[in-house]
Amino acid sequence: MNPNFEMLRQSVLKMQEGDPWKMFSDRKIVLEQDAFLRMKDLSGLPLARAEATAGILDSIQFDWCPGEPLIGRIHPLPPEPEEKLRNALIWLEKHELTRGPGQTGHCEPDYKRVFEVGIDGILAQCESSAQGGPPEKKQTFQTFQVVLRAFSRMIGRAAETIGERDSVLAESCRWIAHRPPRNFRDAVQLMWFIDAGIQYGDQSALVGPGRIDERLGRFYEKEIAEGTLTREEALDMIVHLYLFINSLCRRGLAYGLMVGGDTVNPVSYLALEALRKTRLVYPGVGICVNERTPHDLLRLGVDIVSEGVPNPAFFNDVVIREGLIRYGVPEAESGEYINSTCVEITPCGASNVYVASPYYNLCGTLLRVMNSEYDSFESLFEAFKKDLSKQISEAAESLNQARKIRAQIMRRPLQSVFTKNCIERALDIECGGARYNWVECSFVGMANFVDSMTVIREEVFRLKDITLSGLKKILDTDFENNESLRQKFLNRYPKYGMDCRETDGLIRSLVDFVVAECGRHKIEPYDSAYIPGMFCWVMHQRLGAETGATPDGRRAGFPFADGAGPAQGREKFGPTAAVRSVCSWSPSALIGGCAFNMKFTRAILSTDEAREKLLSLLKTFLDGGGFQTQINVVDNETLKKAALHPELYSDLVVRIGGYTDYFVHLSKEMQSELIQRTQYSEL
Amino acid sequence: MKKGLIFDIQKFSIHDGPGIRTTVFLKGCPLHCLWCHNPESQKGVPEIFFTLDKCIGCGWCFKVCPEHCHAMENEVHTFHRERCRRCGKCTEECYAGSLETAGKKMSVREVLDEVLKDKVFYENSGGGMTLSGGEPMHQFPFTLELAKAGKKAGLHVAVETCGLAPWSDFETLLPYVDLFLFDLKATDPGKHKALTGVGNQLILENLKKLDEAGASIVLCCPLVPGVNDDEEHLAEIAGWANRLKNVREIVLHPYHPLGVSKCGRLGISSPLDLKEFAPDETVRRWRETISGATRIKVT
Repeated sequence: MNPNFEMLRQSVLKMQEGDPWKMFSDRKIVLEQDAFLRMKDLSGLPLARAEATAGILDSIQFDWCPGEPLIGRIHPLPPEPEEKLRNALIWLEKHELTRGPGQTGHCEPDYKRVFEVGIDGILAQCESSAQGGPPEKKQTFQTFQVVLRAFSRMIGRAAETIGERDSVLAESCRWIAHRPPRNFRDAVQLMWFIDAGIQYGDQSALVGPGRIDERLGRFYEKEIAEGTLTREEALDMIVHLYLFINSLCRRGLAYGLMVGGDTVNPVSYLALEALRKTRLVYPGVGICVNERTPHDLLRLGVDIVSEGVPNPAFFNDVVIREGLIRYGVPEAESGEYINSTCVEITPCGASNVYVASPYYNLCGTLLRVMNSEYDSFESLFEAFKKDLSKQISEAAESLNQARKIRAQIMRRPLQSVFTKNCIERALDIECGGARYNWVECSFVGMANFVDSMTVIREEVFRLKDITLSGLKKILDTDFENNESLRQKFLNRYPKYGMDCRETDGLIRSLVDFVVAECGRHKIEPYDSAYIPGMFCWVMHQRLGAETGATPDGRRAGFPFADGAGPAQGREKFGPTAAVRSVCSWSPSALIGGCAFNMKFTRAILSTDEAREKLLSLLKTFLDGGGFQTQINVVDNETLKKAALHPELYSDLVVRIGGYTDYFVHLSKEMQSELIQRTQYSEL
Repeated sequence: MKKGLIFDIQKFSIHDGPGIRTTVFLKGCPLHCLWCHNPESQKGVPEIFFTLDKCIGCGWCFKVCPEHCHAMENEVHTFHRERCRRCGKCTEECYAGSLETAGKKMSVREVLDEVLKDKVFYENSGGGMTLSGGEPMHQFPFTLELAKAGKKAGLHVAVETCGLAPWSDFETLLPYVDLFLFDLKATDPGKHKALTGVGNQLILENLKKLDEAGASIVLCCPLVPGVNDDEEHLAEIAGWANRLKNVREIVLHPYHPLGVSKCGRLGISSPLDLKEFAPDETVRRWRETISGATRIKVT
């Protein structure tokens, strides 16, 4: 283990306080303007973009200090002069040459091919493919070559940085700058160079190691057999890979990595073990669980979360594969996917999927349609569906526009080189090069919506105690002078998460509707699928903040329920009832991602027996068809202390709705929400 | 069939027997332990919890109470328990949860339906249903029927008991119970009476007879610092475990003060005004002392 690790860890924590990403984003804006000014006409745009990407790759320097088994901490760039940056931005906007709307990244690059043929192998393929084709095709390959050469140079410079101080690591860099990795170290190091290169060079966010055990297992097993690598050395490298990820990625995001599924090997265990060492916010590791997943891998996961580490999360391999097949992935390849950041599923090495586009506010929609009167509950539900349907159509239309604009003005040549089918099709990822071009969206506040509808059905349509407009008026005042009514709405009627038919039936209708409605739309290019999900990142808080009081008794501005789980404080009958509610509908069509949080106090999970019981609970959830679950283990006292003394708890990590963050970085409302949320605690 | 008086059905119970369980709490107990952490479990009738902090001052309870027990006095909601006839009307209107009834009449079918909702969790974890209290033997005919129905539905059934009931009842119940969680509260008969209000002769006889009859037994030992954690009792816990044939585990229940605040909400004074949790260090010492004197697992 690197003796300087704790010092490096602290320096990375400090770096995340700033925005390492922005330095490179700003630099690229300036480089893009320079490149565009040099081109004769718009036909030169792809090459200008590639030159800007190459310019970034040429400006990347990595820091390294003796003891680090790999190189990869990003050296900060000096800030761009403000005026120069502002002028460049204005110029790009004026000429409609910004990077365009829509999502980026959220994928695992195609390591497989580069692990087979090396950078030079891919370069050679681009050179030979460029021969004789039409000019556009030739130009595309030219852009690929420009960035690949710069990418090799970047790796070569890393070798120079290390120099004589570590001849083994420097030699490894010099080797992988051109050739395929020979051993575990080469492979992890190249993985990281690709992730960093794509993210900074092409400004594609959250590109990560993905299925790390699948990619690294064979290197590990060969070297262990030959005696050229120890388990501790391999673990140390993975620990540093995690450290690098944190040095690159600003706070407030999520960074996915996955183990398990059909591949379980010693690296699967090391990827979990590394979480114990780093205790940093990234990556969010998922274990892909199917009936063949070894008990000891799951138990290691449970032990780690029981110790208070917010990872790993547990994903349902069977349900996710079903979903991928539904959207056209061949069955044999359906196990090749990742939790691209939180829970949004994207296929490995072949993805141009826009995730989280957009987040729909279910309760906001309900409040809007409540301004009219309806003769029945069903007609209210219909009006809601009609409104939501319109929003979905509009979003799909604007996404199609985004894809068209991006195909005209944007290129991501380095990401393209590492994405399946771009080279075969001679197309940039922005122009239809990738095999998969879905868009995934997410519906936020499902539990509040269902709970609200239950109250409306009873109060307005069954008991007729109040009219819809009367109710709306009370909501508009945020239950002012109506606290007893709010308590009644909150506590008299069944809620999602209590294992009761009324609410669980409503959510099934809602899910069927959004699946069918999203299914009606096709997205550019190639009529790609528009796929729903039910997770929220931090949007349950943002959308909640801008939405008035709701009939479920939620106050105005209060966060919505996170993901696919019950609303805050409403899982009154404990986790088994919540699990049964969450398993009462089928999430397999919602591979845009569904997250379900469970929270336990550390004290109840201190014994071996209790951890086995938690594991059994998780397995029952997954056997029952749940999509994903994550466990928060923390005691409320700790949270309260952290809220009062943030400076003492800067490394306290929590997971909310598929998203991991430092507790002290959360807003005050979100902190109190976490404190308030029911804990399944027993004394 | 007579209904049972149930004061809680707690799911995901992971400390009341093997696996994930649902614990059914039956109201009414012949003992009055000083440390009782469920004081609402003692009386065999429904009782009213009143939590002033939760009152939002809506005034519904003032209107519905036939005895006019609730009133605003000096701007504070005051509950005149001396007039209360426990009809529960106020609790039905109190959505804020300031007034709650402990104790609900339920049929065997109703209880079992609720318990069976979690059957899949019991199957996957080796869990089941635990009948607790109060003292489940105190509502014997109901407990017997519920245990029978549970067994018939394929559940693992555990009964948590203080042991004070006619032997014939235990004998009748035995075929329908997989595990007895049997309390051992104090060894000395005089001390047992002082701490729980009853002697322990019948209790210990029942324990012996259950063991002889082949029942599977876990000894449950509530321990309160300075009250019943004397060396003699700790030694006797191990002694009993060693002498009996079928004890599979000794489970210590270190004192916690939650019962004290519950007493306040029930309008009764707590017989033991101890607001501290049993210190970890003390619990460790208990565990070591008992473990040192027996091979049976102590948790």
